[in-house]
Amino acid sequence: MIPTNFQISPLSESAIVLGFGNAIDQTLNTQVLALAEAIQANPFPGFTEVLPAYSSLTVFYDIFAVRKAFPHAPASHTVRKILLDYMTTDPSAFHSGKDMLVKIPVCYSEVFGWDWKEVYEHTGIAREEVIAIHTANVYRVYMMGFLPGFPYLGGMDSRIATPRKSQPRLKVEAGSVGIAGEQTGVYPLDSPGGWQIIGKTPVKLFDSTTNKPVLLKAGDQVQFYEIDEDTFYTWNSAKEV
Amino acid sequence: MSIHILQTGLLTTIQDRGRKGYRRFGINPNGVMDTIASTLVNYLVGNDASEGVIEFHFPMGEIELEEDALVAFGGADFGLKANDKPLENWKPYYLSKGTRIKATAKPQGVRLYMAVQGGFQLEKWHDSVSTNLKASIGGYKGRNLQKSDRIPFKAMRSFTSSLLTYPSHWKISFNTLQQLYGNDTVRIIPGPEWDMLTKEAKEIVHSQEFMISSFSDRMGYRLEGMALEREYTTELVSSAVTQGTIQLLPSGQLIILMADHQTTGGYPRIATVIGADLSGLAQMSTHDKIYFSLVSVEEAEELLLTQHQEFEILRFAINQKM
Repeated sequence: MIPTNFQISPLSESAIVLGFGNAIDQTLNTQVLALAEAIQANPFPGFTEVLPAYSSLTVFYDIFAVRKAFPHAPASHTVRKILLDYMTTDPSAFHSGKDMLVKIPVCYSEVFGWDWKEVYEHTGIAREEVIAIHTANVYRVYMMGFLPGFPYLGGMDSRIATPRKSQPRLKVEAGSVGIAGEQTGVYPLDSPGGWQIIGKTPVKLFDSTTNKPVLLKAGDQVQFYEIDEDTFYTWNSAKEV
Repeated sequence: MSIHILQTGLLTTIQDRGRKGYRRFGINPNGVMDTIASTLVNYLVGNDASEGVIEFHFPMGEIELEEDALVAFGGADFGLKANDKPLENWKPYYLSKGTRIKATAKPQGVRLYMAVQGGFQLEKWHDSVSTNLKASIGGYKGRNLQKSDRIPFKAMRSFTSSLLTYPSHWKISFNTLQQLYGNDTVRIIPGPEWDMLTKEAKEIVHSQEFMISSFSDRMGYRLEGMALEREYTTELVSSAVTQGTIQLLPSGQLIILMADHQTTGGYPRIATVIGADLSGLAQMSTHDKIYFSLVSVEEAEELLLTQHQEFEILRFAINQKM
C-alpha cells in the first residue's frame, strides 16, 4: 500500500508532486513506481505524463483538457482529488513485474578508466578488487533523469565510494562509467561531469536512432560485467546485453 | 522550397511547444522559450500553434528565402530588414523568392521567432520537432542552424490576395501585446520546498530585486540578489523540476529553470514562475532586474486560461483577414 504520510504540492499550475519523504528506500520507490503505473494504466482526462523519482511522483497535466472535462473547478483541485482517489486503490495490483535485469559490459582498462589513481588513493583498494566489488552487486534503477537515458543507480558498495572530482571535466564521453560518492552510473551522452571515471561500456544507454532510444527504466536491475579492450572495440551492438 | 542560412547566428534552432511525455526517461521537453511569440507568429501565417518555428538570438546571421512564402516574425525586435526594406514584427508578409533577411539594430528583447505558412518539412522525433542540442535530436539534424543549411518548408496553402500586397496593412497591436506580456513583476507560486526558507528569506523573495546574471541561457537564468537563508539544511534526494522552477543553490542564490532544463534536480524548489509569465521572462536580458510577486496556483491557472482565450480571439481575427 501507499504510505499514508505524504505531501501533495503544486510544482506548477500544470504539475503536482506527491512527496513520500526524503529517502532513498527500495520499498518506497517500488510504491512510487506502482502508483505511476496505476495512473498511466488508467489516465484521467488531461493527463500528460508522470515522472517517478526516488521518493516522489510528479504528475503533469494539461489544464485546458482538465477544465474541458471538469469545467467547474480549478484543474489543480480536480487533479489533486483524482490523485487522492488513485492512492486509495491498491496500486500493487498495477505493478507489472516487468522490471528487467540488464547486464552491461564494461571495459575497466586504464585506457577508459581515467581516474583509477584517485580511486586507489581514496579507497586504498587495488583496481582488480574494485572491479570485483563493482561487478558483484546488482544495482537498482531508482529513477531516470539528469540526461536522456541516465539511470540513478542505488546499491553501490560503500568500500569503493570516492568523492567527485574537485574540478569537473568539460567533456566525459558517452558510455563512461563512474563513481561519485556512494553512487555509480553511466553517462548516456557526451557531457561535462565530475564523476571519477573507472571504465567505459560499448552499450548505448541512449540511442536516438532506434525504436527504444532509452535502454533502462526506473525499477530495472543493472549488473556490470568486465570485458577486455578487444571485446570493447569489436562490440556488435546487435548482440548486446 | 527552403530557407537558406547565409550566415550563422548566435543560437538558431527549430522549436515547437516542446516534447511532452518522455520526462520519465530523462528526456526533457525543450521547446520555444517564448510561447506567446511562437503562437502568434504561427497564427499570423495561418498555422496551428503547435507548428515548429525558428528561434533566433542576436546576432541572428542572415537568411534567404528560396521560394515565395508567407512568413511572420515576432518576439524580440532586431530591426529586421528584408532586402534593405524594414520588416516589422507581428504582421504577415508575403515575400518573394530571393528575399534576404537580417537584423540591423540593437535588439529589444532576446529571442526572435519566425513562422512560415505550412511549417517546416522536418521529421519529428518522439512527436516534436524541438531541438535538443545535448542529445542531438529533433529540429534540423539535432543542432543549431549554420551557414549553408537549407531548411525545407511545406507547400503554401491558398489565401486571399490582399496578403500579396507588400506590406500588409495590419498587425497585432501594441496594446494587445502589452496585455499578453505586460506585467511589472514576475509572478510565482510557492514551490514544494518553499517552507525550507526562513521567514526573512521569504520576505526577501517577494520584496527585493533580483538581477539576471550573465550565466543565463536556455537552460536557466542565474539570479543575483540578497542571499537567502534556509530554515534547515537537509540534503534532498532528486525529484522533478519543470520550466519556471526556481531552485535555491547552496550559495543562497537562485536559478530559474528555462526550456532546456534537466528533468530532475536535487536543490530546493522554492517557487515556480507561472506559465503566463514565462514568455515575458524569456525576453528579459542579462542585467535586467526582476521583482517577484506571489500568487496562488488557482490564480496562475486563471491567468493561463485568460492568455489562451486571448490567443483564440486573435486567431479568429487573423483568420477573418486571410
